[in-house]
Amino acid sequence: MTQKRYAVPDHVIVKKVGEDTVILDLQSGIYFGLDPVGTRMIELIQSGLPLTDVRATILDEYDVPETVLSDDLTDFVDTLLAKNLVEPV
Amino acid sequence: MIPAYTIAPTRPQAPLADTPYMTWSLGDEDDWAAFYRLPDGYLVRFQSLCDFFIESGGSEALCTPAPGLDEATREHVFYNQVAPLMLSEAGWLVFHASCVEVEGGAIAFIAQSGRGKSTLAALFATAGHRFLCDDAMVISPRGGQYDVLPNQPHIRLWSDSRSALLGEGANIAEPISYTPKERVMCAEGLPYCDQPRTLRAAYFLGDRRPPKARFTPLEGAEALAAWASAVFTLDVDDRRMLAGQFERLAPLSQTIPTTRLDYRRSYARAGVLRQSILAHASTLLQATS
Repeated sequence: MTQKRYAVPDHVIVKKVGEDTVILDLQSGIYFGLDPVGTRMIELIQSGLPLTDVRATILDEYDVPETVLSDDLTDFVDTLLAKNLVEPV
Repeated sequence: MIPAYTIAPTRPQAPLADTPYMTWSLGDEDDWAAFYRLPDGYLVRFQSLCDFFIESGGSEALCTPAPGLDEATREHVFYNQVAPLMLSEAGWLVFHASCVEVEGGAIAFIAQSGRGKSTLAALFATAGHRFLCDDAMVISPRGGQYDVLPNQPHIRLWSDSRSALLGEGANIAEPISYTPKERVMCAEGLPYCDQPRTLRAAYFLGDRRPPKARFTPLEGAEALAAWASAVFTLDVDDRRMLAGQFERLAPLSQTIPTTRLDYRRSYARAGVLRQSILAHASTLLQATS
């Protein structure tokens, strides 16, 4: 896990709906849905925290093994990067 | 609220130089409608029928008929295809949906073409639940609620649906040249509601065929994605419009109880299906009133 920080680019809109989040990519017009854990991850990423702090916060809030969370968070960010839904700051 | 259009002289459809940014298919015809961007609006070409120029902002439209286009088909293309796109461009939320009156409010059946929303509207209307719209549902926000605005006073049905639900005495309008679907006009046995009604529940028609109707609540991201999949959009690359639409869809998807409805298409069991939906809707209406 790294000190890297990410931001949501201008062509992406993030909106919380209930406990979920929906991301709209204005370049493609495609919607992406996030479950409550993904919602919390994107909230923390958007707040400007580095990934190490995102992981630490989630570990405090959810009952999840550290290794599992690290893998999930890495996969999550890689997926968002691949779809151009976040970018490195 | 329903937009109008003007008619240019008839002219053969000359080939267009550009590649369309979007096409719609109809049956086996892939490019039944093709969409082109112009400096001051959009051109929608309905193959062998007519060209519609829609001004940016959706306030004006001009129809150039191709030779042989009859008035009924021209009007139908406008009200069923072009007008919803103009309203969407003007900032309204318009969905591929039919809608009927239940307990003083409205419930919507939402789906792309061919899933059975018109048949359901007719099924309910023949039991006294007046229909508000078929094909295109226009939504107007009002004080935290959403009104469904009445649309054209007919339901488009395949002849087998019309025969099964209405028999042979139905009032059928002049045929449309490009589709064998019949336009069944409102009548005593197919009542129409010409006043807005508050939308109380939405049913997205699934493609599964369980023996008994299956109701699956959709919430959060799933509900918003369902609504987004059914909205009319003129220009899928217009970021400002997409962003505005997204902002309007989010609260709608959280306000209106949203359900996926899977059911077996069977005229013999249509009455049972209607009762199942009414019972489900009644529960939702009691919970939200």
